[in-house]
Amino acid sequence: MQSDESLVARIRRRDEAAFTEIYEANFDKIYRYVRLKIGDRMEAEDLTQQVFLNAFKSASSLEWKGTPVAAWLFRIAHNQVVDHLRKKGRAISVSLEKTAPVVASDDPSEIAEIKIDMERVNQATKKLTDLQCEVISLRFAGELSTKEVARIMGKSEGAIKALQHSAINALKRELSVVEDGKSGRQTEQHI
Amino acid sequence: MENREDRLNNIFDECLDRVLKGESIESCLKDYPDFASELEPLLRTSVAIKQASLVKPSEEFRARARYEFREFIAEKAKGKSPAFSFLPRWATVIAIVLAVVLAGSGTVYAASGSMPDSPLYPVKLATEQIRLTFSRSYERKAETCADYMDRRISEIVYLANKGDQKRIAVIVKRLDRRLITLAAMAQATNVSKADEAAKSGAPTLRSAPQAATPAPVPGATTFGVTAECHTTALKAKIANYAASHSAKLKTTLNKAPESVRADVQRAMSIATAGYERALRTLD
Repeated sequence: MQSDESLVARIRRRDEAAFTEIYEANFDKIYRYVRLKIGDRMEAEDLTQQVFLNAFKSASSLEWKGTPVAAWLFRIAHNQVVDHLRKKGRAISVSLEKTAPVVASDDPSEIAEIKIDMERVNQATKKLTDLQCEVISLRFAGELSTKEVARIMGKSEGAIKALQHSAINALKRELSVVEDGKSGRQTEQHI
Repeated sequence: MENREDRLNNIFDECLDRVLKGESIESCLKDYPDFASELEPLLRTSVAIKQASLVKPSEEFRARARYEFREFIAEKAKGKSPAFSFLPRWATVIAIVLAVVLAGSGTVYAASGSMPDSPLYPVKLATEQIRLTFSRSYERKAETCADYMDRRISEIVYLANKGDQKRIAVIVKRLDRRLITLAAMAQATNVSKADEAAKSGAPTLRSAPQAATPAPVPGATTFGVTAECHTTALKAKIANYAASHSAKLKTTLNKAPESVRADVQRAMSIATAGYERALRTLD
């Protein structure tokens, strides 16, 4: 397995094999990261492709600073997503009606049954702060460690851990709240 | 001194890593009984989020994106320096023009069997590209790609016997690109055949509503059946090439000089993975 340092050197030279390597290793993760932040499948597909094309175009600016190559790709993906959302002028694209059911409760027997889908998570993350959302996207969709996330976001590991904790707490509440609202609507229909 | 909040942040982070790697929530809670009541809902929510975020790109998108990305970087690489650095760029351009002008002539025929160290080799490549571009269906493109793979393998065998490492490395790259194209075209063939098959089962068919799939009439075209036969034929062709190319490269590897062994080995890995990918798309 090549070290990241030599991989960076090959990327800077725009070595095709190096790009194939990072493409195959990160394609799914980048797609999941973008999808979690954008929601829409087709937009996520377009942006994922654009991330790798932009990576190729900006290869010469990549410098070895001890961070994994994946961190560079996620930074490009982050900028791409931010740019995309700014151009579209919207933050939330998923309506409540389109989301799938969720079971969330403080009862341990019910907690074990939590089942949610990507669309619902995407909707819930819109209620997080930008920093919380970024941590959750990188940790869960990008499958990066706390240390890697800290380097990408330019924060201490302690700060990332705190953000992660508060984000999951918020998501837990958010997912429960949405479910409560849904239950309420269903009850009204029955009456 | 670590306060309780920081301690919980650290414990949650550690447990999250463990749970995401497949350890049970219960085993984490057992290690931290004082924090169990706070940890449990956080970890349950985390696991649910992780499961929800495990979406995968569709195979169609994956194949198309991979193909387009490879084409993009190949084009960019060409813009920077010719794909075949052992020939000047102007020679390649002239070769392409010649290939167009002389298509069907003896020169093109002679070039078709040329090897990478031959002056006619650029004509061979240019002719291949033209034929591939003008192949009408995805299926035909896939077949053409597979045939060109056969040529690349013969070239690798030829160059390996000569110990020409530099040229083998270039051909292996070309082989890789062709395999990506092959998988993308095979995928497109499958999708278009499935569409045809679906159309053939449309209510416009003059068959009784209860009737099962109509039996094929000799000489007549039944879209579903014909499509399936074509796909099977393409699959058989690719499978045959996969087997014969693997055998050829294996034999070459055993006899090849040390200087080219790594490249032949790489060609074998690329060919195996590429053919498997193409065959999977036709399943």
